[in-house]
Amino acid sequence: MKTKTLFWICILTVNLIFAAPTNFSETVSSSEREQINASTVGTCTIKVYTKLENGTLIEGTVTISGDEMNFLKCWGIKLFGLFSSAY
Amino acid sequence: MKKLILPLFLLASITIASQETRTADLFLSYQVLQNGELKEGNLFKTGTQSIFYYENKKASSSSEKQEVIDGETVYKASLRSGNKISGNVETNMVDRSMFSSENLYKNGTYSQYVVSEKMNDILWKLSAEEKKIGNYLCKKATTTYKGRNYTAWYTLQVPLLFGPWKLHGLPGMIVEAYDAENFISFKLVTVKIKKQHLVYVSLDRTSAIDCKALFLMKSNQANEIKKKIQTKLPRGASFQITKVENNWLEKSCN
Repeated sequence: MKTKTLFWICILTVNLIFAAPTNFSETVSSSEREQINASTVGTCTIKVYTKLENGTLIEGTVTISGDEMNFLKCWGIKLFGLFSSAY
Repeated sequence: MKKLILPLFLLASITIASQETRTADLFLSYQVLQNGELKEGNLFKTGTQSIFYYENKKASSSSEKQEVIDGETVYKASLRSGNKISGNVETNMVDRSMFSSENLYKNGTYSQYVVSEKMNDILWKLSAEEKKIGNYLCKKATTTYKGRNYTAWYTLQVPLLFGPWKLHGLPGMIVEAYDAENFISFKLVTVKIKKQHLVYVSLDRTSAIDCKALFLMKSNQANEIKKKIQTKLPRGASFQITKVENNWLEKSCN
């Protein structure tokens, strides 16, 4: 493999790693593949339901868009630790 | 070493002082079903005062889950304070005071707020209707309290003005009570009439707020959640609230 090709592969890998948000983990599962078709490239939406101890139920939508939100990232995004104080 | 003794002694004194040992002359335990959640409610009568609280023997912790439903990614979170004792209500027949506690989500965590109210006599409509529940011959009473229509079955076999949660003012012990929407129900499970010691940490009344202030704070919880989520989202992501359901036991202050 030529040095130039290797160089671009390295750059691309580093970009993908560093562009990931810290509190998001990106995993792939077959059940989520359907979402690829439903998603518009450049925007992802995740429905968020939060139930509080006193019965309050809050529904909302997380919309992720922008130049960094490409086709590959959209279908693997998971919201974990959204309410944990670890982050 | 000597320098350590005094702070340790003071710390121990404070810890001991925050707990009180009271003598309860009556203890009632209720099975409470609130908004689909089953819990245990304990009512202690200590002379002219009463203490009620929910005891969660196994304090449940917060949980989160993400799944794909019909091609849509859905994230669900249930946020719990993790407290084993909650929903305290302290009433005093002499000064007609009623202090209660509620855990509210604020600044990314749960905090306990103490609410000060008066034991305004609940206007019960006493009915002649009777039925037997267990060993107790019960009479029916109905009322509207804090925005809900309640039915209570009480017995004159045990004269008691106090009841579970904030229900009070009936001439006898409440054996069963529920609201018209089946949002909450109280069922008497245990009665202990003999005197017993109760170790109880009283509510901190120094920073008590009124019911209206509590409602304002409760209404603001959705914004607190929005604030919390937004701080966790990466660049290019946003969160919008689409719906808020206030499934509160108390719909109003009176």
